[in-house]
Amino acid sequence: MKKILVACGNGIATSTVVATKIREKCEDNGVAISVTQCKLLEVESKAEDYDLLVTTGKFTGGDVNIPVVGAISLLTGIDEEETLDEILSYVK
Amino acid sequence: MSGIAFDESLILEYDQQMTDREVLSAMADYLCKKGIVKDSYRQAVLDRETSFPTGLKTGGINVAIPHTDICHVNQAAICVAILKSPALFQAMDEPDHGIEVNLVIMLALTEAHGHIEMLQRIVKLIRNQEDVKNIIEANDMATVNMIIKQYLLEEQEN
Repeated sequence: MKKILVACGNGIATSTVVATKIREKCEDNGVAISVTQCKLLEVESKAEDYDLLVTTGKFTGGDVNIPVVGAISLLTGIDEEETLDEILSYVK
Repeated sequence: MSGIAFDESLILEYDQQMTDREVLSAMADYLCKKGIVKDSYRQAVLDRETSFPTGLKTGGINVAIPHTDICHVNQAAICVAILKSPALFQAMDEPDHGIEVNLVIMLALTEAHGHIEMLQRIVKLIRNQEDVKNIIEANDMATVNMIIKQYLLEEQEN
């Protein structure tokens, strides 16, 4: 099971909205995942334990060795499906 | 969303050209004067906007959703500002990139968890650009009040 780290400013609000949409997408496609939320500031120290990083804000906290997907579209709706498909492609 | 204050007195309209920080300061000062937020809210919301900008590019009328930690708030409320001349806010996903914002929805919430449901409701509103346009172009506060309440505060069926 792939592990996704979802990060936003406080690790509370936008990351929850995004995490919910990722869970729904993966469930619809029969892909088992685990999703963890955190603050953007915590990403660098946590990322190595995960397979994919998804952020709402811009991630500038340093180098991570996992793929990063920006997911502002899951808030605004613009190209939402493309972003969800991209996320899915990393965790299948 | 019970217990969150919103009425026509919490709808502000600015005609003049302003910066994002001027808009945030004016809104925060207004909320402070009404006793809704503490003195510390203004600086906290400005600082947070600098670290984690809240401008959302919608493909139509852009929206900003400034907020900060609940410890700076006395009474949960939403404050809406309609900017007749758009202000440049930094985009949440591209902080180096300014976007023209016409609608600011400032959240002064008292429960951290409350931000989640409110954000989901705001997402619904900003995806319905027709109603965002109706807010921006409304000539009376009653219309704005009605649309905001309908999206953000009324009980909704799942």
